[in-house]
Amino acid sequence: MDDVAPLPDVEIGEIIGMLEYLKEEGGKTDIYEIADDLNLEIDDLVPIIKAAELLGFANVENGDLILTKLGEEIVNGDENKRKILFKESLKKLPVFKKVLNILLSSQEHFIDKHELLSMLKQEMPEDEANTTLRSLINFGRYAELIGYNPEDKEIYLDKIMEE
Amino acid sequence: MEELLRLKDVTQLFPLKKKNVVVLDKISFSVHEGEFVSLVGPSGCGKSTLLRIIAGLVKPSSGSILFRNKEIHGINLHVSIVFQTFGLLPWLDVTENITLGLEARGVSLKERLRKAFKYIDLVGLEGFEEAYPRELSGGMKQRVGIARALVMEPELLLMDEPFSALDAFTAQNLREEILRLWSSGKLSLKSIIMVTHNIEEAIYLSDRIIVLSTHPGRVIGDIHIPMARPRDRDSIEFTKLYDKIYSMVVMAKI
Repeated sequence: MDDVAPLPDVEIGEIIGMLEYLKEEGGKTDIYEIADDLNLEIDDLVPIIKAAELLGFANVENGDLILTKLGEEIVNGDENKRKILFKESLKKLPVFKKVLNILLSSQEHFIDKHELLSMLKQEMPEDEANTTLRSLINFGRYAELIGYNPEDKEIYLDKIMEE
Repeated sequence: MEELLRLKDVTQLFPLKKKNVVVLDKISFSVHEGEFVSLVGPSGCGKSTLLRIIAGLVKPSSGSILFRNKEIHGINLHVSIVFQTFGLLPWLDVTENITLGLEARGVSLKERLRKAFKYIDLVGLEGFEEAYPRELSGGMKQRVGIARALVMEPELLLMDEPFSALDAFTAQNLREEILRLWSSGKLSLKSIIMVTHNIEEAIYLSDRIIVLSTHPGRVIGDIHIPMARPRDRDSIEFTKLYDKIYSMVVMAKI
């Protein structure tokens, strides 16, 4: 199995907002110019760019950020289309693959949050495991891939997947 | 288009050290169906107070508010507000926060849930139904704030600095969402009034911008934005409007 890389600590709205901005700039712009234009610190921008790259929505080339075809589809799509595309991208990430496998193979299709956190801690430093879990729940909920019940602290499979 | 709202000489005084300070001075304007209006002005111009007066949450010292030609006394049930700081109840989950207002109006549980799911879907909150506010980012919290306002199926939506507590990208994303919802034809909404100090945001979103001065708050400009959407922030037309309104706001401070 691929290495389970940590997920950046960003919000869906930040990723989509950046893609929308990028489209307005003609689909390609200098990373330093984004920071300058929007009064952002590069440190704040980097995780959002990383997330967009990880999901295949944007690429970094020679200091430019470039909107991919998939990224453009996200920007142009309605909310349902966005969720579907997000879902497809998430399913390809090793960390999601791993969690989905666990959920699919368990009888009740759920896993305790703390149990999952300790599994993530075996793969990455504690800080990153915490933010990865947060983003995993956030992204998963948005894409309606996984759900999280805050009462029981359980992560579950949102809908039994077609494939 | 038909007139939805009319303000007639709305004046608000605020008692300070035995003297009355005039916060809003004879504010008069109308909003018609189909209009997205922004109220822009320097801080302290009373624009948030004005929004609360329109909602019927604050009674003006003098003047009147007409909604569909009828004078409004007390809370206007055809109006909902979206707040800058979201105003969610931390002990309720997303669905419960959204349906709270319906519950207060005696809507049945079945109908509450039906409506909640409709607006949860419209604002892109599917998957977050059982989340608590503490689990949500600012952008998601504001989506709940918007859904909670829309679920009441108001004719007029008031937004008080709805994007200013959000980071740049999230704000951009939500502005697009609002435009998308507004133009979708899926809402009961006839008009939107938004308070903002962000001139670029006002030009990007609105059909009309009302500029207020400060000390006292008076209407000093009423500008139509004739640009087609989506609007290009780098276009000459946009920049010209920006410069025009910016200089009005700066002058209003002096």
